[in-house]
Amino acid sequence: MTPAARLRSVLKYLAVAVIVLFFGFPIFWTVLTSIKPIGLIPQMPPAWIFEPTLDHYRAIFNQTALLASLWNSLVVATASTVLALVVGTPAAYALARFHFRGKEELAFYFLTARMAPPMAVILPFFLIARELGLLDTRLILILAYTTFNFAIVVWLLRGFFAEVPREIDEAALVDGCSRFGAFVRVVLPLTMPGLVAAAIICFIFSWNEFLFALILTNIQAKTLPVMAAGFVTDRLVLWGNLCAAAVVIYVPVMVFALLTRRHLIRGMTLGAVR
Amino acid sequence: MPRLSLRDALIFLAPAVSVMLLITVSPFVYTLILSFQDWNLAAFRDPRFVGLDNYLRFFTDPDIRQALRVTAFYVTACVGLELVLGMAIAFLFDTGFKGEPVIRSLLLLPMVMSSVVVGLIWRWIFNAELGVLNHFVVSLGLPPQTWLTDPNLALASVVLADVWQWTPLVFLVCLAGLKAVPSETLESARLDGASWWQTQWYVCLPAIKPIILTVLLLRTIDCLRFVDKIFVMTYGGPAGTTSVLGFHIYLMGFKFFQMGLTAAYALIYMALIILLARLLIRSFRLQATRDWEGT
Repeated sequence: MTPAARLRSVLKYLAVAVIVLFFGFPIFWTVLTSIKPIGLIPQMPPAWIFEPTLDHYRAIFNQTALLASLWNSLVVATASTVLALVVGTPAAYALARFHFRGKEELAFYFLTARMAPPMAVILPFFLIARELGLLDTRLILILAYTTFNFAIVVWLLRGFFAEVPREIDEAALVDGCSRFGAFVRVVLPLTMPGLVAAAIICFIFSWNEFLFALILTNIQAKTLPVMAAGFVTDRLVLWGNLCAAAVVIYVPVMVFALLTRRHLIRGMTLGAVR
Repeated sequence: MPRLSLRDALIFLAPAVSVMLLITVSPFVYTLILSFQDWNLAAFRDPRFVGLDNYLRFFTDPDIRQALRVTAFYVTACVGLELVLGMAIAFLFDTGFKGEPVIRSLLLLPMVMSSVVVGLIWRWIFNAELGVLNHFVVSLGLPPQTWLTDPNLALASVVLADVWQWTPLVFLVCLAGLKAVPSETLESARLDGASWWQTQWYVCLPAIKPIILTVLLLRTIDCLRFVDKIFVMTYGGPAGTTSVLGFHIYLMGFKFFQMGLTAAYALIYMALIILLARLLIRSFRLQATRDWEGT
């Protein structure tokens, strides 16, 4: 290697190291704080090496409110994902296969639900839910999350369906399947990876959502992000508990993200980038 | 292929359209009606019809002008930094090195974190007394800062948290674009005597332009929409220096319960974003690689 090439390579690895440090450090620091004994947390300069403890995890899991929030998050994210998939998948198929006037306008209308600022959706949801007595229920959150999950399902799966050759549908129709039969028995199994990706991305967005949950719920249906935000008060913050809660909220979606990393970008960009 | 009747399309679309009518059109109509009324939820008075007053207020309200200034800075800073950094990292990673695939997957991690959690952990890092950032700053011989309560630093601190979370998306999108540049094209550029920099500048950058445009619009829209980080990091403070439009509207609605005003402002805010979304769709179509219609 020439000296110039060697220098280039050293600089490159240096840049990579800086990138890894910048993006990795906050996560590392959160995990470290979550296992740090409570006495060491206020220490400055910070303690880097210590005997790890699970006290903070024990403390948060001893709160029944946390377990209830965990359950709420799970139910709301799952139900909303399933609802969006069941209703959105056929629509995505129709947009990929059929030609009709106003198709692009319809697709755009679905998308606007994902693009609308949460504040514009929350206000009427809040007032309507208040009239109907649905405030602080999981049902209203499920419906609210379906507004954006729906757009994700429709736009992402439309691309996946478009990749299935039309001849496959035709063959199924010739073999005596109905339109719907061809869709369910032949096309859907072929787009399984897309369905899984869409499901996981909907789940992640719903699991992480904050503003809807903050306004539409209070005690009964409170989800994890709202619970975590509640750990921060002006007077005293239990940083150890907070970091432990952050880890608990983060780990499930982190696992999902790594499992679907091949489709994650496609999902995040609504199918625009593969 | 047998011709598809409208009936077929309806069977597939009817459930979707009816659910969407229920959960988007009815709230929208309700918001529209509200926006013409003066209605404070906290005061025991009936809503009063005020015509376009709420809309007109938007353009004369000094608080809104302040919020728009903050928003413009926040969005420009976030999206600008994310684009520049994300593209730079993409070009770096495109050259390939040992361990590149592993590091690439690790960089997925920040963007799937709940933005509330991102806000909270950065609040811990930025903490004035116990925060690790001040520890680093002090060990470099600089004075510690009150990152989130100093009017000059608070907004920049929130920007940093957003840059941390979303630069990886820009990076991964750009990298996907760079990987899709045909190797023959790169080879012929090399044969023509182009240096690495020239190849990137004249061949790769134009090739990924549509993808950059898409991610630029996507980030701009999401930056305008989400206020979660601001909510948990600064709550709009100090002195309104981090109160972006979305957050300001949140306060009007759910702290001051000005329902009519909030509805009107939210609709204006939404119109702005829909306009950007229109451009986004156009950018999707620009991407030569894709074809929605299949064959």
